[in-house]
Amino acid sequence: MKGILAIETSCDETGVALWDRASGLVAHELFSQVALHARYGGVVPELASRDHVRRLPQLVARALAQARWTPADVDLVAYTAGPGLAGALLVGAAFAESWAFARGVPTMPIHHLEGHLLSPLMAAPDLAFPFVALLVSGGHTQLLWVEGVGRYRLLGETIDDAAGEAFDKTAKILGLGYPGGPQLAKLAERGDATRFALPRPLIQSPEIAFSFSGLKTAVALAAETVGRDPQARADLAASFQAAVIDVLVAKTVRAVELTGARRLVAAGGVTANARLRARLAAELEALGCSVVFPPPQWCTDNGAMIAHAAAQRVRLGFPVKQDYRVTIHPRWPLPL
Amino acid sequence: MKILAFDTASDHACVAVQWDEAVHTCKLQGYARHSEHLLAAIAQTFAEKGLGNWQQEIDAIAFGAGPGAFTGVRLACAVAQGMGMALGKPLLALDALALVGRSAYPEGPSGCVWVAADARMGEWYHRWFEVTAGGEWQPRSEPALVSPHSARWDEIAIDPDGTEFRFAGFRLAERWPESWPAPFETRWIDAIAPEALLAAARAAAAQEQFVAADAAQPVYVRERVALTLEEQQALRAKKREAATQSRA
Ligand SMILES: Nc1ncnc2c1ncn2[C@@H]1O[C@H](COP(=O)(O)OP(=O)(O)OP(=O)(O)O)[C@@H](O)[C@H]1O
Ligand SMILES: [Mg+2]
Repeated sequence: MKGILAIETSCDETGVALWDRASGLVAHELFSQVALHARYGGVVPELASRDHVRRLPQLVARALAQARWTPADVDLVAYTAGPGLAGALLVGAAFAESWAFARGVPTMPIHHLEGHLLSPLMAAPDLAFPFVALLVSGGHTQLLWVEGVGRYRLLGETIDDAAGEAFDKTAKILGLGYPGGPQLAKLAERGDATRFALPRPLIQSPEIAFSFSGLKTAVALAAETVGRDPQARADLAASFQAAVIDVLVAKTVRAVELTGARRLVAAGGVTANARLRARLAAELEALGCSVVFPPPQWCTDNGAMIAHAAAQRVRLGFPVKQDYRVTIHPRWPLPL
Repeated sequence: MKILAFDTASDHACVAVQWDEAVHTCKLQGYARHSEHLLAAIAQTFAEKGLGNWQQEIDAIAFGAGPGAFTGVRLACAVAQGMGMALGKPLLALDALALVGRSAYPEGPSGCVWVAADARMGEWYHRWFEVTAGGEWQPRSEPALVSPHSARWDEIAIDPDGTEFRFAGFRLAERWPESWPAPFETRWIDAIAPEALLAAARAAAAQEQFVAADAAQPVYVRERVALTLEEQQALRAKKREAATQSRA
């Protein structure tokens, strides 16, 4: 018995990882379905589920081979139990519970956002609690106060679209491919961020809350004026990106001021954005707050962050599951 | 031969165990979520029969692979994959329509059997089988979709005027289309019979249809589940056109 088999299938990435109790991560495999969904302009849940059931066992086999483990080496099976697409979650949960049942080992259902939230600790294991966490992904935009593993308090979140979703929708308006976030960021590099005066929703309000749907509408209106002009499109992309970053940074600063936090952890797919990283680092460090990002490879969905979260929970004595019920939580609020 | 078999494609999931000559079965009646109860039902079946060492002794894990409800067939497949990989045991992917046919005709009358199951959206999954004198169910067509009320009988029947045949149907929302010949012998079922599950599993094992756990897949038949970007655009254009026409 060596450690944990971890499985992530909540959306459009199939992730598998093996985590040795002594040495940490020993194998990880990831298959992204981006190419599969691109021709549909977004994730098709049924196709996502089909692809998970196709790839998952192959990725598990590859991870075992990579680590030179046999199934007998797995003493706990961790998996993302939510939130996410029901059909996609079900594949990972059914596989994981069945594996554990067959071998008589326990399982640990993991909250997908906890995986993201703790992922920076994979590269910075000595990072001390408490800290503020900024979670910005395709489905979430939240600021949390993290006192320890499993001790989270929601400081505020988006009241409509997530920041990643706003990137993706804006990219669609600009006719960029799916997923739009990274492509929009690339286009923005060539643009003038001051060209279009776009709203910064809620930036003046003292509360910690985000709203991105109005910004998206403003971009849609502006997009009608730019037509096919490549420079104007780049300028619009840059203006949009600057607006989102301004709001994310302002609210994060506010959260740090309110809590007096000395550390900020930023996670989720949008933190792959280089501009956002640079701005966060600059403004928070000026306040005496250090900023930790997960290494880029752990920014988007992956199995390693699920293995890591499970390992932290096990180490701290959180209960494992041994009823072998396949239960998923497509909607599952984080603060636990 | 020692086989664990299960099917979760319908409302009544079914678990059955072939343990050499002995047969043990368990029906999960009408649970909304098979996923919550399937593994417990398997555990109970083994425990009741005192088969404490089944993990080592089992030869294969058989599952109803579809076509059927997407989530149900995927659940069965993922469960079989997880168990099969964990134990290093091979899988048997059982055709859901053969399970329907075998459940309706356990006595296995020789001749042709046409099998259909509800595929929603006004369509049926269907497949033709020939049952041999030895009781083997040999498929005579690929599993396919048919719209019963627009399809022509002579295009569906593999041999419209020839062999005598029977029909087996599973939970069909639609009635027998009026344009089709008056049904020959017709049997409807509302659940897969555990005996049929095991008969299919034994037959698959005898023909060595074992697949590695990481190669086993569900059978969906309905492959088009979403519109591509071009199709979405075309649809929007068509709707716009229809709207302008109706205004004109
Ligand atoms: N460089 C970038 N700039 C801006 N956004 C980006 C960048 N790279 C990725 N994204 C965005 O990150 C999102 C994907 O992140 P992630 O995979 O963490 O989200 P998710 O798993 O879909 O959502 P959740 O974790 O909330 O369920 C997408 O919306 C994508 O557009
Ligand atoms: Mg994610």
